[in-house]
Amino acid sequence: MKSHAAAVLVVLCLRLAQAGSVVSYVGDIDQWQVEVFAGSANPGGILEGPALEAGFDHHGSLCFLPSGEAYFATGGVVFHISKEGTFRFLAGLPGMYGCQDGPVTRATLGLQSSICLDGKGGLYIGDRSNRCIRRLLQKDGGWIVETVAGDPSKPEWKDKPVDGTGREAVFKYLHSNVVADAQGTAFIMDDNFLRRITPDGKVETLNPQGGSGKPDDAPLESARFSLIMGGGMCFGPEGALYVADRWNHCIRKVDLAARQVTIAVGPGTGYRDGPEKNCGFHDSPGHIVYDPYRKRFNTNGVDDWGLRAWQNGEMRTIAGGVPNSKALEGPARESRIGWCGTFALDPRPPHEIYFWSGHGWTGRIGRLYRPAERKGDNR
Amino acid sequence: MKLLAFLSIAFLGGVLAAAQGLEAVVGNEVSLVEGDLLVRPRGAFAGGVYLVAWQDGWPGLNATADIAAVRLEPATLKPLDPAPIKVCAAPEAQSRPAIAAGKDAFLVVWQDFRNGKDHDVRGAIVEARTGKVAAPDFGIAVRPHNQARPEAAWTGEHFLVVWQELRGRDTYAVMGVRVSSEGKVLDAEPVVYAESGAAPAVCVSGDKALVAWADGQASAGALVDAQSGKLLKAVGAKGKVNTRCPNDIAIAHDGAGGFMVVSARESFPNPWGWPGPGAVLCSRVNADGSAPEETTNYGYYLNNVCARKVPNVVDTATWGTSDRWQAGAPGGFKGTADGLWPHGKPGVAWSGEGSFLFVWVKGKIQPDRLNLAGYEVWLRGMDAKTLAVTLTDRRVAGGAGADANAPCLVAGPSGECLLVHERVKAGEKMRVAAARLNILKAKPGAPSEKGHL
Repeated sequence: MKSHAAAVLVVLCLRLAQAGSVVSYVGDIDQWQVEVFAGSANPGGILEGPALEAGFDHHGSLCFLPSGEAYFATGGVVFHISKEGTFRFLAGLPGMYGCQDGPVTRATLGLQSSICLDGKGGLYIGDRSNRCIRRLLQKDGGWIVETVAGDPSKPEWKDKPVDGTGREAVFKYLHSNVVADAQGTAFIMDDNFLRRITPDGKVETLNPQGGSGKPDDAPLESARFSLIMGGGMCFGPEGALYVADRWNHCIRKVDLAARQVTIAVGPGTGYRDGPEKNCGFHDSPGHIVYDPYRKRFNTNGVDDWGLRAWQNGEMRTIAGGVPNSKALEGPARESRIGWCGTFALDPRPPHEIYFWSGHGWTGRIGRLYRPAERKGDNR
Repeated sequence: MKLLAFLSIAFLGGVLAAAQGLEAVVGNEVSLVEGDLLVRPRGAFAGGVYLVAWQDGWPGLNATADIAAVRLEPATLKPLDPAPIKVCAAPEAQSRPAIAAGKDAFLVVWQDFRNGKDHDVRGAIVEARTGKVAAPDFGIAVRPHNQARPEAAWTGEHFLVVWQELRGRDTYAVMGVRVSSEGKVLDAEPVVYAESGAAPAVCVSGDKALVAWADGQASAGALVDAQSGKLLKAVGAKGKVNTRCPNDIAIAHDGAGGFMVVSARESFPNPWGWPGPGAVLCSRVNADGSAPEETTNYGYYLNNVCARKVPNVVDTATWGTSDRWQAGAPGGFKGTADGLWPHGKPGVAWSGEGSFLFVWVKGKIQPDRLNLAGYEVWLRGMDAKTLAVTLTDRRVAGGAGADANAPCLVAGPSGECLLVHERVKAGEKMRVAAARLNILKAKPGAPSEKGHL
């Protein structure tokens, strides 16, 4: 009975939050549509095949190659996605989770992972389940998995992160996705500590005096964040990191050169579009990506209902935002966006926007597009 | 891949599982084959021999996986073939094998990605007496789009093969055809058993077959005329076998028209407990199609399962010291009462003594509450009519540094069962392992040890 009451309370709170939402759409909202790019409605688990027939499990993380091929991590596997949209395993095996390195023909991955290009033809894997950073790279004509840093056999750190090289380093909970710069240096939010991982596996905590706490403009060394499952991260055009500081309901800018962290958007509670210093987030921002083609940041929430864009000092909704919408597919302003996850931009014109739309503990890859820009379906 | 000559790798045998009604004598675990990646072993018994088939290799991009098998002498589990039978070694990936035992031959089915675009369902007939692949590599469902996750059963006259197939833009249906013992597909068009469903299982008892599948958060099912393959009716009042446990369905029958469905609620630990508990539930389907567990109230977050207030719980993760699942509670998820978590596909077989036997996997929750390790296979018996426990839970595979996964339980000759599973140990090749289970009626005051098989 208590749990029922708690559930009712949560639903009421959500409704109240939704009732107070302020949605302001981008000017061309009616030109945009949402469709499912990949993921069957009822796959029965992880499954290879054509995009709309593939099966996913748990959250997903997507990144594109310049060619239009892509990679997608979900449920203990990394898929390769061909230009035609065929999903094949690149690493991992459904139901067989672990941290075995070696050729992909027998390497194992954790259940939950994020991925990004490592700048050298491979992929970094933020292996949340195994609390380590791994790499998928091509060697001798095949793909192998290696552990770059972290050791799942060691207990998680207690008070402060443990830095070091390779397996000396200890991680706790990889809230964010992994990102990497052009030199192949990776960054990830581990609990509320920003960790930098060099290609040779040296791990350094960039805010060792920080950790969990309210947002403020602060030196990087003492910056505090409040992420929880799904807090995301991306590079901006000038090389700064932008962190979706989910439970602080704001977007933080991490200037790595100046070693300074500032509040870029928010903070504010409740789904509220508007000027960047006066807008708000419900259970978000959960993920963030810089869209170089439209020169804006796209963001979304974990338990939110809209995709939004931050541009020219304003936050605007680019899809969803209407709590009572029923279907993911359809006109962007009527779309029902599920539990959100990764964003990715197709490098091929017209640079359509891909996002994870979760439902329960699985989901599908959605795509935001303008029909007028399509010259035939490219997938 | 190397066939091992009857190598006994662990002694779990000689253990008598005295309980409320049944005893289980567990034979020595023997390793049948070793290789880099041997996945999802499945077994069947026909013509006086067991056949165990598995996926040999990884099925991903630029790799290959084949279907291989070996016959076993039932009394000793000695391989009857000098090398694994190559059931199918076509290009690209053949994966997820399933087996049905015919009169004197086996039908092995699998999903096949040889076209590089999508899965088809293909099969082969293997003779029980010789091990010869009498009908090699024939198509069962070969059409555009995915046809995947096949399962098969013998009706007494022919095989019934079911699978999931895309219908419409992005939704899978459950479909099936009959296949002769010579490997000929008997139906020009498949029968659609469910317009929406995935990962089906099938079992025949008498003149009916039960086809069950995952339907959202539920397991659903239908009775099928075994001879014609035609759909008779949905099970229960609403077509559901149970409402909260859809994954990894397996079915067995009692020989008198009754079926037992076992399925998993696949979930994984997390520091806040958000995904809910992993669980294995059993659900009865009677000969008339009634499904007593269809309307069971499993409670918010499966609290009635965690508290074992419903009778059809084979296993469940529980929340530390509480009998409720308290996802998101302050302090987070600290672990289960026994430190274990049910995981992966369960198996079921008829004991011959009024009970069904269940096998499933438990993993040990690691201190970070993110991972499982130390996978073991556990055994339980439950009364077919009352669901009372007739054989208390005990580990039958895994331990001593070796993981046991993906168990399959095969009803064999005269009250015996065969347990087959994957075996992984650090620093060693992966293996397919097997053990005999002899199920007996318990004698009052029986000693706790008895000679092993």
